[in-house]
Amino acid sequence: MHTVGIDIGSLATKIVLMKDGKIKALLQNRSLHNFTAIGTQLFNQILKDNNLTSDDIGNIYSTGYGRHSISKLTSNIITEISAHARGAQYFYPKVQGIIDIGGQDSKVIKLNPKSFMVIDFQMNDKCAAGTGRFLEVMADALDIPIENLGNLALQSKSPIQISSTCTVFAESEVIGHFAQGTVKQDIAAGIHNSIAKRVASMVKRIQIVEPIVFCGGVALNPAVKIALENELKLKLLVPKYPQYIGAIGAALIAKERLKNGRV
Amino acid sequence: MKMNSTTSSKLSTRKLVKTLKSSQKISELIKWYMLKAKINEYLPWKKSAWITSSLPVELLWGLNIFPLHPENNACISGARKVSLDLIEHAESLGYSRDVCSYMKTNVGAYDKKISIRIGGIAKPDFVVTAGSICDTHVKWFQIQARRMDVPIFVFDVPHIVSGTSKSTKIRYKEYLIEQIYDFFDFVEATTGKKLNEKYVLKIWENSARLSDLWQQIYEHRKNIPSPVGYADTLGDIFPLVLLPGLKKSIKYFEDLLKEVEEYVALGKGALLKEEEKFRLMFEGIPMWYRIKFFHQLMNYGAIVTYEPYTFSFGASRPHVDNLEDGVNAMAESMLQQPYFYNLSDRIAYFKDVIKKYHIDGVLLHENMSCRPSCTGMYDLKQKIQQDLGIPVLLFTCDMTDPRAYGKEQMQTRIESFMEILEQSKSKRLDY
Repeated sequence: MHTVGIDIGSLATKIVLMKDGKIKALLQNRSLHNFTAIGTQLFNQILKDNNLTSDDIGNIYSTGYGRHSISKLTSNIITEISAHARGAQYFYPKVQGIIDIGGQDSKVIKLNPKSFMVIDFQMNDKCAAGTGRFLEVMADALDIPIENLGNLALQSKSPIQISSTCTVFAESEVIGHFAQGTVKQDIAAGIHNSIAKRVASMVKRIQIVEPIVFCGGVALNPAVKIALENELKLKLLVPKYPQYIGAIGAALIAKERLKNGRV
Repeated sequence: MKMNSTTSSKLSTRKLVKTLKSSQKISELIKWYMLKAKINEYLPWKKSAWITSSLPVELLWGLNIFPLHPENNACISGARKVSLDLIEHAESLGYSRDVCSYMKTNVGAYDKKISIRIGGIAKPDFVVTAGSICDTHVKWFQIQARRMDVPIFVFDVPHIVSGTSKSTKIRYKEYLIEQIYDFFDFVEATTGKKLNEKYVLKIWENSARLSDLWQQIYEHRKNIPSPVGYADTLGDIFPLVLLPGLKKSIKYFEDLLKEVEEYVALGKGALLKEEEKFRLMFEGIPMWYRIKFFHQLMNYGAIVTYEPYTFSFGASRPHVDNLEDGVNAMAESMLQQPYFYNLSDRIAYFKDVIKKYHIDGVLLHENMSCRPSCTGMYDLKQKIQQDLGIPVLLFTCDMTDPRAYGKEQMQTRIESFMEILEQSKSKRLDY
């Protein structure tokens, strides 16, 4: 039986096709301005790539910021919190905490150590600090591709300290350091420490414990993982497809609910 | 496969209707009050004063001083969706983004001379305030008294905390009683108005009756399904805030209670019995610009059936038959404010409510404008979760500043919270 999970994030839309609970195909694209169009386009493409029709799909669940925008396509919705929890369990069944840093939000999820159900969560509030967007703005200020930011930071010997938690003010600070001749590596490391501090405060508020999965598009950046581990003094597990965890979780929940007779 | 309509964006689909027919009559009381306020403004021999929450408004009625309430008017501005404009006006004068939004709404409402229908407020003959539940109350009224050039009286209310001895509490009360008599002298010197002893006794009697009725209504909120939610009670507190000694307030509450009793007798609720899935407690002032939030919660089968905020306005009052006992009761009421509670008392209070009202989950409004209500909220959240195994959602917003409300973010939080509540119904959560 096939199920599909679509995670429509503010920056990227991810889609996962699963067969009997195993990943069969993954696709992603920028969300741009039309969630409905991108969700539908990716769905049609993943069917075509795998020689399937919509009749072959048992259940389709959407999640993410734009989860309500493709109601004509999906059977049901699930929040990012539940989807990420289930997706992380696919790779690490005994996970007790999840840190997800996406394009415009970051969240921390706490699971019960016995039932492995979600019992608490924390999300960033109306502020881009501690999100992927923060890193994008900073990479832009340093005039380097976002993909290179993490590796640049790892070369630093003396990271600068960024005192502002506001993305706009932090950008001014970065430009100021740049103007004073600070090397890009040290600025990049300071940027990663700043995001780590912001996310760590959310982690501490709900007190998650290991094993902790780190996912979301930002988990692809090795410097954020290291900065977070240093800040929290614990180890983080990054799954194989960190940016697809929400979509994988949605597809798994779609399968489980179908099995239980629910759409 | 089509999406089930019940799972669509529930925070944006529900008719905004009051549960109880009698609640709808609140608009008549509010209109009556506004008309009186307007008449008062134009008759030079009538006197008025600005007063804050936590102070007994009965004293003003007893002194024949018409009460004007900047916080109440700020709520109206919020609900009428004009508060942002007023807040921005105050910010243009130099008040920071971090200053209380009630204060900034009041500054804007007064300066811009907006209609009372949307929260406007007239210049009073004096202002009276206290720092008991809110430190901003004092500075706010000092500033506005200076800007309007009117006299100010500040009650100095000591805080009872854990470990405050019995003898200290007695001294505190005596200290407040002295201040109440000083206040009578202040009002007489400022306006020429004297306390009408016979009238104030009547006001106190009515006020005690009104609080009794409020507590009876609250008793019925323990029922499953709950007969009345926050969408109603946030308006129902108006007579407790401003008109506690008046017969028309009693009539309003009597009608409300009668209807609630009928609901309970028939097993009716704000939601149908089979619809009521989650019973919630809401801590904090509501987001006045987003009252529909409380209606829309019902789309998830969730009903807010206890709010410390609305309960606190109708705290028990003794029935008194002489001035001395009445002043004594006023002093006591000023000393007993839930916002004084230290964390352990607050936790005990919450636990008691959760048990008695069969609460499934707690919403904590971390109100950016209100330090006294927010400090300690994380401890409160952890303690409730760990000791009682029920989920608590803490969210950051503001009472009258709509810039602090992120619609999409709130929707994700609420939907996720409902998913946790769903699983906690079948099993106590182990935190």
